[in-house]
Amino acid sequence: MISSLGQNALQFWDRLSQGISAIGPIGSVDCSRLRFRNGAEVKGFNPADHFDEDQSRVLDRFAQFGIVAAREAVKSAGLEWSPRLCARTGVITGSALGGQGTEDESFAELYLRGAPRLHPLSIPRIMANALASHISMQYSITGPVYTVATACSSANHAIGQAFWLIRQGMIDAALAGGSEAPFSFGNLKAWEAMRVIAPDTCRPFSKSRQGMILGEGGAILVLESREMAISRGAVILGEISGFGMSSDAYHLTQPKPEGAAQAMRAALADAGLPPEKIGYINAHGTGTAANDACEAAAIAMTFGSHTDRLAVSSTKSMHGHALGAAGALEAVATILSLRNSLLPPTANFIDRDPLCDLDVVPNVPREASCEYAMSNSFAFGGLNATLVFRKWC
Amino acid sequence: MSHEITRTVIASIAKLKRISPELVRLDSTFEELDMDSLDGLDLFFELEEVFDLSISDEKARSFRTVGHIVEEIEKLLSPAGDACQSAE
Repeated sequence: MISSLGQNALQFWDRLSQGISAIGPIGSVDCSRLRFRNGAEVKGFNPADHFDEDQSRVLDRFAQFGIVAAREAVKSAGLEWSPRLCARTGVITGSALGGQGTEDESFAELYLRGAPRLHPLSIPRIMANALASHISMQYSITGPVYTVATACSSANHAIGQAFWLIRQGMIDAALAGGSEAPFSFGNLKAWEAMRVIAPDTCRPFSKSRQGMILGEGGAILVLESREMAISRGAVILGEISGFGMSSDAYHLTQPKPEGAAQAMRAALADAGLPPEKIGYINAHGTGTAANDACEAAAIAMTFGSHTDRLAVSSTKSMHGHALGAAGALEAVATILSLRNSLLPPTANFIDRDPLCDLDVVPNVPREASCEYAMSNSFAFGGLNATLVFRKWC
Repeated sequence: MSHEITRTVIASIAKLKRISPELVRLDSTFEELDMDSLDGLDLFFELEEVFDLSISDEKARSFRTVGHIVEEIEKLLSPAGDACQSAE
């Protein structure tokens, strides 16, 4: 994985588990014509460290992040590719924006500088499925390969579908996750117009929260059936127990608690678990007024009196909101929280909001051993996707 | 309050909600006008374009009535105000 917290999973967890936030001044875009200045960028990423010139030419930054993440995941999983495994493996990626950075640069050339033509590889760089296709080609994976674009729920939808495909026996393994690179002037102006970006930092569940902070990065999980993992002696990092999704069918940007609760209940039902089994929730927790209050209400609807015994944190307070990659970064955060019996905090927390009456693990990481944890992603357009993870022991 | 600013704000809301300007008063609340958050974004975008100014997110979140918007635009357009400022 790669994120503002570091360029691999170890660095990510090292900082996350200490409650260190990577949010700071945006360096890649001139913010003088923007109402906000801060983001959670991947700093010091040099494509030449990972790709030769021929490869770089065809890869937008979002795809570069995803490939770097996939390589780390495959190496860490110790997969040995055989023709049968290649045919029985899927790649499902999520991205809200695809290669919008390439689009932004290309259109600036066209409209501003009067360029007579665009680069012939513009479309293959921009297409949202570029990452899935590149991963497929890199490892000769010929099973189901596709991309999900459900805004901020993209990666959770991707991971959930990969999980279901494996559980149903349609494939044996999958590379699933998401990647995003939202830092271009055009895209930041579009976010500015939404009026949901905080001028300072991301303070999920705080009464004084002022909005979200954009982040970037990518994370890919190697998923396989329990039988395959055990039989090949894999180091198993965690287990996916359930997946649930729903649509609010309500409003483009205003979330509805009933919709989020429906996704959480569906994930619990899919896992065959009563709510009381969940110990920790990695919240969607964007830091916007609407999301956090709605998510708190949805958690209360889903968990009832057990809500008081839940720990709920938003790691977006540290790695920002990576949109279509968010669920993938947070899946890693949740799996490593279970594995290390340590809950990452909600960083930047300053004041309690009665509308978010949750134990948000404020500012300080907490040792806690949970068997099951949940990770929520909710998207503009009212699309909700929830994963349930189990500690592997 | 400036008659011209008031008239423009009311006309923008009436156009956005497809209602008669006579139904929009200075003390009308967003709720009374059935304006949701997206309508608000649309309205502020329109007013920023028309008056060539920038309304801060913090201010935009604080508006409850049509009069609040008119007051803020008057402030931003006054000689002491800074129409380009997007103070946060």
